[in-house]
Amino acid sequence: MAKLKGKGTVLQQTISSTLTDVAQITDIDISGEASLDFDSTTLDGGVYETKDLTGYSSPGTVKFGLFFDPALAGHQAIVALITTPAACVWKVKYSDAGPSSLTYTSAGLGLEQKVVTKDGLKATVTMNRTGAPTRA
Amino acid sequence: MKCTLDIECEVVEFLPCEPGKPPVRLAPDWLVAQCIRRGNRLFAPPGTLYDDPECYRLVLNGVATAADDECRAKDTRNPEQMAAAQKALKRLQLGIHPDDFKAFEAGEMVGYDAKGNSIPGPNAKPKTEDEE
Repeated sequence: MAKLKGKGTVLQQTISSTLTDVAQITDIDISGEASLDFDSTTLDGGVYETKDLTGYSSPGTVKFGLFFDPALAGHQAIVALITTPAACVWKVKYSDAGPSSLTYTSAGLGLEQKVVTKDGLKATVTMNRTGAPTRA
Repeated sequence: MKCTLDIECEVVEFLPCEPGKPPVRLAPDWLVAQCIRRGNRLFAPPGTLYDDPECYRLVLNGVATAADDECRAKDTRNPEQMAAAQKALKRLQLGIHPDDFKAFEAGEMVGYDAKGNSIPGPNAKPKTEDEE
């Protein structure tokens, strides 16, 4: 049992099938992964509503914030997935000694940039995951 | 377009897939043939030759060196920018937090242990009584 720190976690993007680290990330939000169900309540049912599983699971999304550097090759490789849409394999390496990891494929990818007076240039990248992930 | 890897990098051999489903290959055979397998992971050692239209991005990321004119033409960085990329890459690979950049550069810490605590470097400051 361990309480892992966020510090030391690395997100990697594949370029030419090779995992390369994405720089200047400030936070990673992995969400929406869920087994899917539907409301199976019927008029002749009991008191409680019922749910049944559809047999599908949603791969969810990954959203991460970063200090965005338009001139940085790694960040340009992310933008390239918008200018030339393509699926891409990513890996989150957690901060444990293993390290444990989550490898997934992204489909659609979005980039939002924020320019303000009292902070550095920041961006938020949102990706829809597709298919099954690999956990190690 | 060609480049050679400067440092060891992990290669994704197959696309992530559900257990029991036939894996779909991602890494081309010419790359896998040059790699080292450790457990179920694949690593491209330094010197691995890439022949891929996207491989210039590895060069710009600071993990590879251009190996033909086509790839060299894509690299418009000056020496200072190249050095900065190499320095940033080292920090990045170790997952060094921006708050610790200064201590890392000074050799006071070299990374983090499994609990996320700093691993002292050669220039680590001796701990005060309060820290011990």
